[in-house]
Amino acid sequence: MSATYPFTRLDRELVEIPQTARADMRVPARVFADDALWDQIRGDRTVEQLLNVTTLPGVIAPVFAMPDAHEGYGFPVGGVAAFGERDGIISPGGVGYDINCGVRLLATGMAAEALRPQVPKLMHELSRRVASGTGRGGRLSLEPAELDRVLAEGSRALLSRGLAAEDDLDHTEASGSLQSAEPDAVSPRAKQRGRDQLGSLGSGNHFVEVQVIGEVFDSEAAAAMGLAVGDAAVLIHTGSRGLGHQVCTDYVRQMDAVMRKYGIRLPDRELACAPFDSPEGTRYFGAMCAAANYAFANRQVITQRVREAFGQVLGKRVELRLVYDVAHNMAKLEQHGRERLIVHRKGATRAFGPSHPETPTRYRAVGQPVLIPGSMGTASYALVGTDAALERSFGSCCHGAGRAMSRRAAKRFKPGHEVRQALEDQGVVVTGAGNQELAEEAPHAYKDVDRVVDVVHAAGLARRVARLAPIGVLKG
Amino acid sequence: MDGDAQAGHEFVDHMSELALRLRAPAFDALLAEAVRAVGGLLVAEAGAEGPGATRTIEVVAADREALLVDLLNELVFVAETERWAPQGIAAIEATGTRARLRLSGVRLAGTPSRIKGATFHGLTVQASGGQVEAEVILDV
Repeated sequence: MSATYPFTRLDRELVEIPQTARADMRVPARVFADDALWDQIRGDRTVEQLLNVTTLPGVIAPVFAMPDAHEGYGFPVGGVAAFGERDGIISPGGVGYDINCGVRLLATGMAAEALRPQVPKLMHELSRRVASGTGRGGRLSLEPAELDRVLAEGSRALLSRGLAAEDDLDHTEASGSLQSAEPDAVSPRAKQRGRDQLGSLGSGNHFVEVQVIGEVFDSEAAAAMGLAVGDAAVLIHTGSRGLGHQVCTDYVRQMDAVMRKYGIRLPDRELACAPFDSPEGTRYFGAMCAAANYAFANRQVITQRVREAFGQVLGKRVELRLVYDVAHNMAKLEQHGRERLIVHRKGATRAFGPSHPETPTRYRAVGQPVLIPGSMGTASYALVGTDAALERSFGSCCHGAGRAMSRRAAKRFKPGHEVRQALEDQGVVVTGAGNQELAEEAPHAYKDVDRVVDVVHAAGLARRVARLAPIGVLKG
Repeated sequence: MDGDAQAGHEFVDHMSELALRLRAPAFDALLAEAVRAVGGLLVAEAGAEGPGATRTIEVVAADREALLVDLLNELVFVAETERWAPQGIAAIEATGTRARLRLSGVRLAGTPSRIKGATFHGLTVQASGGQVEAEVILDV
């Protein structure tokens, strides 16, 4: 249970913890939450972790937690913090171990009812082609030079292999290729972990879901995304796998060793950081961008496997168009007003509006797509970013429903076989996970995604476009 | 706690990760207990296919806390890249900044992916009353 801190409710969706709440705070903290979510967020150590972030050098006021925030390590999951390019820091713990964990949505243009009889076969085919958990099928094994190219170019490196199209790149955050990537800053160990994991989900809350679009709230934005009521869509959630984890491990350790040199004192060692413009900070940023490129490429390879599986099962070529791919765990150098800031989003996404230059051409009239997966068996949402979000949250939004219950508590609450049965009763075909994993990721372990989305919509961070429900789940 | 009367470990609730609590009569025995705990998790997830090689793992760090984290990260790395997990401890030498372990092990049937790394968050190693206790959060 978290310590109690004074707070002021600024409006129905926003709470502020003043800078005076703790002596070491440099700036106030703000939490986007209604009363019910605020009660949940105060139930663990999220607020304490958020206040720890406010103590970091060069932090820009205020730091934020999104409505799906929960306790993590270092930064809370759902935390957003910006730091000055010249006087601020960069923290691997502020990005997380799964660098550029993210989601992408594919539009099928097919009626879900027509697809439904094929869903069991489709999920089986997906499980053969996309490695999940401890499985190995469908992965690409890369030679060192090929891996370096993926680290340098991200999804673009897959064009020549026929695993990506220009249209895919156009609808991926940063075109799926961060220019600041430095493959040489990625350790041999990290590269060894990443050598044969491209095209794999990993475990935990990662998944490929076949979904049906149940409701459209904004017809103009939905049309821009190619989403229509009753159509099937595919949502993919994974990240940079062992390579990204090793990059984080390597640099937390390196920064832990040099903080004294820079006179940095921390309330939590996992917040280990270095000045952004220091040799250590620069090198981490290059390695993090390389790991992020690997994650973009990983989701792109899985996209191709999904296209192949649809083609195999339906016996024809199916156009699965990438709606958008958005990163969850990243530090980005961005222009905010007159300042260049290094914005850390850990378990949070960008939500840029129509006027932002990085919003893809297809979405210039409506805003950048924001994708918010719920838990297994519950809804996911497609939204669009707003220009107001730049002012309110450094252009950021939440990334999911957010855990409300630990894995052990979730297993105690309902055993895995009951979770499986409940999903089957809902007509959801589940593959790739044992009962233990199902119990840990069950819907009751997460916050109410509808409520979370209500808050970001009402707060003006993003605008609701469509609500999707799962009909098939391949679980990592 | 699992383990004998003097050394043991337990996994405790954490909202999104996995917290490992350890106790032992001395720091070297604590590291051995950490190996048993994480070895057990790796085998439970990926399955054992048969006996594996005996290997020596050596880690060097600034302090005992970092040494514990580095040792666990080494086990995660070897498990993922070589499908090997520790099963028994043949020998262990440890100071506050260096540890050398001779470990017997098993060949894993699959590639474990559940434990991604050990973190510095809330990391403690404390000695009191003839016991050494530690807590470390594993990213899962």
